[in-house]
Amino acid sequence: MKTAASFLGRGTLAVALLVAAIAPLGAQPRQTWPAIEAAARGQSVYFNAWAGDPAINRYLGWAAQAIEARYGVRLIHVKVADIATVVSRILAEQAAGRREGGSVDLLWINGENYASLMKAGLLQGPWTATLPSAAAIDAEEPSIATDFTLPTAGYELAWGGARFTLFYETQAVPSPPPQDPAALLQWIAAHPGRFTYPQPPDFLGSSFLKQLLLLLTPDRERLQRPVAADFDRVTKPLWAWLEAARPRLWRGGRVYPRSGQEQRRLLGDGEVDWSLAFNPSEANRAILDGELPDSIRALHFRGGALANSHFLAIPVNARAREGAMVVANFLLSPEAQARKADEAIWGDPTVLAMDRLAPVDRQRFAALKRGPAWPREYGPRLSEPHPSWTTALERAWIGRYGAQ
Amino acid sequence: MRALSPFLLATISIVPLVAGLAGAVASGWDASAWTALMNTPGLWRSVALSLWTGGAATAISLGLAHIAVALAGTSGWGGRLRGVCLPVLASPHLALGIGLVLLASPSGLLMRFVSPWATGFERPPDWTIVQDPHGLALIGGLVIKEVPFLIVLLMGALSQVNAGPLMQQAQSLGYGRLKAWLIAVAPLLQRQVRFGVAAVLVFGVTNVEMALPLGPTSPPPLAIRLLEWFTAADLAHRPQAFAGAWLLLTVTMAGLGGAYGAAYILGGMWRRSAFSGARWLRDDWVSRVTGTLILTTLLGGLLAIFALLLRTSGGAWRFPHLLPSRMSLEAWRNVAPDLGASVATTLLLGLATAGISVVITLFAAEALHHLKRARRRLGALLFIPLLLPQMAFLFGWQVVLVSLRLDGTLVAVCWSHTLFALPYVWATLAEQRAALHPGYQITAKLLGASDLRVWWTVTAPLLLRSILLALALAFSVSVAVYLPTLFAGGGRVATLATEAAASMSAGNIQSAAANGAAQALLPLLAFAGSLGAAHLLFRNRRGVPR
Repeated sequence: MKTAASFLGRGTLAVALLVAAIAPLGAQPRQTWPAIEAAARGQSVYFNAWAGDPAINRYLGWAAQAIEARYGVRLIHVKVADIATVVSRILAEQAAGRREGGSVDLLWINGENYASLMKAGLLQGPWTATLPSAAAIDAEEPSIATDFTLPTAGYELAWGGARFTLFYETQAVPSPPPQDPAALLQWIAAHPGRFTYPQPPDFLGSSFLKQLLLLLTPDRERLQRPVAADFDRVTKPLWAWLEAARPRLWRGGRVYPRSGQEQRRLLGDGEVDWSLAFNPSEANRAILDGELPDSIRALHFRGGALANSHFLAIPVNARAREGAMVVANFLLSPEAQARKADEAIWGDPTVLAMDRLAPVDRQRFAALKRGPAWPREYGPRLSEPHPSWTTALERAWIGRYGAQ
Repeated sequence: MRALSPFLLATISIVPLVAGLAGAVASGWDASAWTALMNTPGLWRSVALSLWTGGAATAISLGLAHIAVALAGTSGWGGRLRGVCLPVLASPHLALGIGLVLLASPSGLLMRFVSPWATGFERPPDWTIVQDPHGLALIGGLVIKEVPFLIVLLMGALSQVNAGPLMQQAQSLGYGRLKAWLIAVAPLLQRQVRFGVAAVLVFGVTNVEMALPLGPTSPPPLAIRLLEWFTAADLAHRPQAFAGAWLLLTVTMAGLGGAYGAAYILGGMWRRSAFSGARWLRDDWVSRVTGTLILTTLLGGLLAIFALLLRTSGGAWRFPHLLPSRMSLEAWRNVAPDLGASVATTLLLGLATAGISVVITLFAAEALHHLKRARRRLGALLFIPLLLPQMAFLFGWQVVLVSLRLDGTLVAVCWSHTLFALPYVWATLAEQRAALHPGYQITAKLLGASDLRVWWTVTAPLLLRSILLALALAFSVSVAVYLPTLFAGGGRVATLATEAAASMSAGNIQSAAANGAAQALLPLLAFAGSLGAAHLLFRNRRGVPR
């Protein structure tokens, strides 16, 4: 509670009232899974999830039908443009003293949003171990067991995996493409105006900085601990790289795309030759949707790709707690995960470990077809740095390039 | 009801405002929040950008709109002018902004028209056209969006000004048509649209919708930085964001003060010019140049909408191809399944908001039509929600709604929409009601008509065009507002605005464009309906301004 108390010290009206709300946490009665399923029947689950992609909306529509038919639970997808508005709503409910019957039953989060809600004591848990489907999760994988170095501790359930991936136009980038930062810098120098990255603090832009830093810094382990006075020393090679690249970037490094999606459009229109994403299937999906030409290919840096996961969580004041757990359990089932991983449907990598699945379920994943723009070689998975590095990198980037 | 209506209006506005401001004070009134804000790199450049883009856009838009109305008023193509304005007026700001990017950026429609045959470009040139550091593209976008709004507002005001005799008088004194209009008619119009102009200025300074696609990025205008802090995952940014909201409020007030000062100085120059004796007989070239500029502005808006629609149909769209590689209605199919429910909710909310705000405002306008000071004060109060950055006061308002157990209900959403519709409705109706010559009502009363009958047979028809415009405006505000819907609706009230914003945020340009187009269609129908109704209702009356 100490961290929550220091958060309260900021004097927000919202959080002043929070003190009272935090108390009943942790007093969750243990329930068996059949009892949870029985209690869930007839509940309506308001799932607050980012809804930018029609494929995701269609997938959740399918899940809603299946869940309603099998468990008698109504899944309602609350379409969210930015999950921060949901965090704000949960805060407002706490401030108004609503300790139960909240408007959010289940939400899709990761990283800093998770850290924020945990810090404020607004997430329910631990609950994930109760779920039958959770047994097959690849829990040894650090990018699944931790969320930006914070342990998930049963408060959030891994739903999908992600790896930092670069996409390029084969008509402009020679084969083999640059596969490490130095080679990429050479390419940028030789092709002015054809590379860029989303402007930090956009999530993907900041991730690009982290990806570069992980490969360029001599002391990668250092990034697992919080930022300290040695920030300048540790990040020096990153700034050298960015400084060298900047004048040769798109718009001379004076303008950056707002988001990964905007950069994907620039790639599709032919304004740049590169795009970035966390989902390795993104370009294949975009090719299927006709958004990108089929001359696009994907790569991971040879030194490794920044990897993380996205998760499901239940707020403390959720109205349909059992229903939310039933929905989460279904979304983690091999059937739902395989469908999610299918590029023709969504193309989001699974978090299940293949060796923990029954052969018939393993077959579901083996049967998936991949489009041409899938990274041919996997490097190692690189864990997210401690969250304080993200904040510090963003601040330093804005100080250098964001406010000229 | 008539006596109570001003208080009812005030209550509708004051409750959310007080709740919201209390929340914002509690969250942003903290020394560390201000220290964090002041230490933000490039803060003052952001402030300057907000003032510069908002101020310049307002000044240019107002000038162009006045001249457009003058040219239309003296040449008789007024009806057509309004028709051209409607599509742009109805388009959501964000959708129009994205359309302009698709039109004007180096890989945009305009460059494709002339490439490669004229320019030799096989690839889009690396030019900074949109998002330029000085905000010129943003100013252009705001002008394109606001000129139609101001034209419609001015033409609404025109119904309360007897322009014909004034023009005859001025022209018989030997003035050229343009100058006659500008010194005899325009000042009378300007007096009635002051609140509308202030709304344009405030929007220009505080908007994120246009600034996101078109505005500079390093640093962006202040409102965008607030949005970033308010939506930052790290809650530690919140106090700084609230402090920033207070700064934006101060900056906006300063902008309004500056505009007031500028109007004073400009008014003096205007009067001197009116008394200078210069007749401006050869105004043809002025008309031609400004007319071309205005047409370009209106055409730019229409082309942007066209570019957006083209994008909804497109697959990959490599430069320099003029058309997308495969035309399909895929994006519309993606949007279609959810469209029915959200259109119904949007319609219901829009109609309720328009009905409630116009009816109460009509009562209040009737009660206050001879009380200038009270009218002005109420107008100023109703106007405050437009002054405040929405993110800043919606949080406190949401807390109140949650404790009233109203969050997530249509009532709460409708209340929030009414809050944002009222300033426009008031600006359209109150001054117009006050500007009616009392002789009409006095004559009717002398003939023995009751108050109700006087209103119904005399006042209402004279105000009808403004009433219809107010209804359409309130409806379109309700269709357009996103954050108030999201906060009051608890995410459970899905309207076209929330759906459009969700797909916009993903940058899936095709479904975003389709949603934006759907969101534009309803207000477009409302405006067209309001114009059509005026014509229909007045088809057998002569001399009543339509």
